[in-house]
Amino acid sequence: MRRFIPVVLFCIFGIVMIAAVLTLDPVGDPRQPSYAEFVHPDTSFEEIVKERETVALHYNRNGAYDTGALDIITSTIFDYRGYDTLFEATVLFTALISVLTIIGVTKD
Amino acid sequence: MQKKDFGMVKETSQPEYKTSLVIQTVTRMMLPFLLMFGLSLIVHGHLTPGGGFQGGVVIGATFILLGLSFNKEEGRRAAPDGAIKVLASSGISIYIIVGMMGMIGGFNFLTNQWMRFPPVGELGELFSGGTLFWINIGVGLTVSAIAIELFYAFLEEKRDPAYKKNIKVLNEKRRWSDDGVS
Repeated sequence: MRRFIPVVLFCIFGIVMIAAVLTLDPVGDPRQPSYAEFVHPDTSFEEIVKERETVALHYNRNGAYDTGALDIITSTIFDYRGYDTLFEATVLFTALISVLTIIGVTKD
Repeated sequence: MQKKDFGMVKETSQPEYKTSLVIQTVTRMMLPFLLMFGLSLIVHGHLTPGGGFQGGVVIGATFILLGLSFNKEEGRRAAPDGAIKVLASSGISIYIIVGMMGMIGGFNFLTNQWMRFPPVGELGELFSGGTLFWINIGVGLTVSAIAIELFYAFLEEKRDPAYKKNIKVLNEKRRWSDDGVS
């Protein structure tokens, strides 16, 4: 009986996550916020494609002024999307910890 | 009759080996420039292509080069175990603390130019782009420590003591079957 509690919890967690993913816009739709964040939500599909007022254009034009970095890649990954880079570094650190746990570093 | 090798299980050890003098001399001459190059990649992250991850890998590869061209003990003396682990943790901590500094003044987490995070300067100088300077340094520390520590962890891995006993048993079994007695 006790061994089914994690299975049940994971099933509930999985159903909640799948339901959350189903509420997002379909893949490739240019109205999703990661692509057209600075666009009024009532703009139609054709207008977005025609004017191409996207997030990438905003980062290209205003990147240096917003962040103070000449390098667009650095301004994108460390300033506009700095939260993702923080967790990418954390994942690398977790990989190091997991390897050191299994292969213990010993003093000779 | 020739003595054939029946695939005896050898216990691998690392006796003292000497690399050639050319490798040692050239590495010793190249190491400061490699370290400076990696540091330049990290610190100029917001001006030139590069940044924290790239410069961190270069610095990690420099210490691995030191361990490969000299002894493992020389390399381990240059990058001791406890210090590298502290560096790996402090890199991520720098990132988080720099992000928290914005919250002291009432801004969001990881604000950069809205609050004029120091260092403040003209566009194109070294001291522009406030949080990017410190974040690059933090990420560079973490990545270099990861590269060094993984290399030396796989090098210093100790085998199970029972494995040595099994090696002896396996070798004896094979020797007996060679004689044809058992």
